[in-house]
Amino acid sequence: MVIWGNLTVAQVKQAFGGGYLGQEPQSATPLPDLPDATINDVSQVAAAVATPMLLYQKLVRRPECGSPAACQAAIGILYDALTSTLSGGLAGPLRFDAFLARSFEVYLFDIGEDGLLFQFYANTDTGVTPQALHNALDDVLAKTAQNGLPNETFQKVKERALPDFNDRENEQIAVRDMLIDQISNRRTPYDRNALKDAWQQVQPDAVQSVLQAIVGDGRTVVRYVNPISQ
Amino acid sequence: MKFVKAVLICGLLSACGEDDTGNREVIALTSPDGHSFQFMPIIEDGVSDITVTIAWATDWSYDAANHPAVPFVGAEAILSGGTSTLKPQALLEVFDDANAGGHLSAGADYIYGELGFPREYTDKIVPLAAEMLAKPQLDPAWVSRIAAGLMANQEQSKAQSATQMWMAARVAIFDDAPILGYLSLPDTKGIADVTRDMVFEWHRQTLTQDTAAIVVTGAINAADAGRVVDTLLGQLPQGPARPAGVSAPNFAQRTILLHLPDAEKTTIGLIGQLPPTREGNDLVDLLAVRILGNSDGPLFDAVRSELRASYGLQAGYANFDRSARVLFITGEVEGEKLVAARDVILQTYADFRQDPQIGDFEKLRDGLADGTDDNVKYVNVAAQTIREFLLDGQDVKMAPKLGDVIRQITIDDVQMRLRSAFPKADDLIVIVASPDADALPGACVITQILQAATCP
Repeated sequence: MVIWGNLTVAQVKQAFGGGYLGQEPQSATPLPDLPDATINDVSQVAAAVATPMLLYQKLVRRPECGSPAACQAAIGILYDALTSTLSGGLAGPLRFDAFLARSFEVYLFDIGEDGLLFQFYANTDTGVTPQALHNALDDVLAKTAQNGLPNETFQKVKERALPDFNDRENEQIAVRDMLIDQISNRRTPYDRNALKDAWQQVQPDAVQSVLQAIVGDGRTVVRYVNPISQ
Repeated sequence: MKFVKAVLICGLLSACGEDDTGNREVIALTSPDGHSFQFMPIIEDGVSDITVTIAWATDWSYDAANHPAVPFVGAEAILSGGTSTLKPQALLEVFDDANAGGHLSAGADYIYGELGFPREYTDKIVPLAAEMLAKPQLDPAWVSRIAAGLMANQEQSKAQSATQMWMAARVAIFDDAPILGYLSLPDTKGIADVTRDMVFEWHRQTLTQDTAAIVVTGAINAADAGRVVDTLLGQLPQGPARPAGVSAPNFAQRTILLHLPDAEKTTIGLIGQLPPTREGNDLVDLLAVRILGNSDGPLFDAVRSELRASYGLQAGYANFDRSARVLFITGEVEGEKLVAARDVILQTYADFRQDPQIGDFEKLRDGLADGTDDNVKYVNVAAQTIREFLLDGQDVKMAPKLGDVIRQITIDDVQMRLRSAFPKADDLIVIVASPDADALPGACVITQILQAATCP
């Protein structure tokens, strides 16, 4: 339960008869450990879609990255870099320089104690097969992991987020969303200032090790989705 | 003498805007180049954003000779094409670095543009946005890609029964009027025929200096706001603008069943006409519809108690365009309970319209008012709200005080409005998409969406 709004702890206590509050927050129940087995499950499916899609998910073991806030900062910076058109990102090679993905979405979650889930969903451009896009995605990720995320990209992504941390207009909603996200993912809550500090302090190595993990061993499930009529 | 007076007024206004305009007060100003605009400064700690929103009238979607998908493709293509000196991705990076954003959206009768940026990036972002608006690159490869995306989305959406039900409803209401092309894009494959030349022609006709509304809100003073407006519009053709299109809806009662043999679900819609928002009382309508469709409201109560079901019925209203405002109650129901559901919904609506039993009226009203207060605090929402008030001919000064306006609505206002402006239950169009052709006795049964025009 998250209580959020313009009210004091005393008012909340009164509303609940004093029962719920004042206890130390309990640490989150960790999710079970990830199995070590490596999976590479790639297959074609036909579905009621208008144009072909690539669905790509990969679960890997998250590298050591320090405190929960520090981990979140490293993952957040990698996410922002990958979704940008900056050098090292996916949008440049897959959507702008070449017409491979008409649109795509990336998600990057830390799962449980030491898991990391990378998801990439895309609509392919006209004439591009999901398999071709998959190959291009693997190539881009491998190349960036090999060369490292360019320092300019790393710095830019860090700087871009800072106005959001200082944005008072949206602060309350950001705090609420962060708390709900932490609780629903069974993480011990930490506050927004901790994330802001971590974001400012995170080093390129931490981001690089998350990227290395994504291209390393893991459990990969890929579906090439084609319209039923094809 | 006339000249002196004009200068004096202008001078007074800009002085007024710079020095004396109250925080979050809306005033009408004229830019140095003579563009009228609405201005609301938000000079508050922690607020650094500025929003400019502009509306352009259009009648493109009311002429059968025009391709109906062009406004959708054009709006996206203008934003996706970069500028003469910046490639699309480079332009995107400039906006991302500045934490700035913009969009264009195509209504039937107006095109809406919005630009948001932090104050310190004004001189960087505004000239770029002006160039995008005036000299879009419209790379043919991007035009095709955007059309392909629109086509795919439409195809996906049209696979759903609810979309097909709405398409049939719009055919019933508009017959074969060109606006149907805009509202439904019935020829999905034809979206691929949109050409760069068509987009240029639409752009030439639509985006001119002759705007229907300009609003500037946020962390900016009056003089700078005027300069921003002039920069944004300065490179566009003078105009005159096309007029805003006006549709001629026919909301006469009909009962129509669209037979979709492969549909997995039965979808029902009850549809009627509300007066245009420019006639006022929009907020009373909003409150009435919220009360009707609230999860503790009469519709859900009736469905639970009389049908022993928990359908997610949705009550709301929307503009097809500013002349045609539609009230709807819609949702998925069990096929075998369709007739009962129709009867219960109609009876509940009729009772509500006649005598709304609103237990917690003040709580609901104040909840809506508080939510509106929170929302309109945002720089961009404030700009959008002022723009809508302006286009509807309402008093723009009330836009930042919407919450207070809502708090003044009484239960009598709602009752009176329901009886005077809301359609009678017997006058609602009943439309169903169902796998069972016999599910609704007495309905005009059709198998093709376009046949809805023939239903008596």
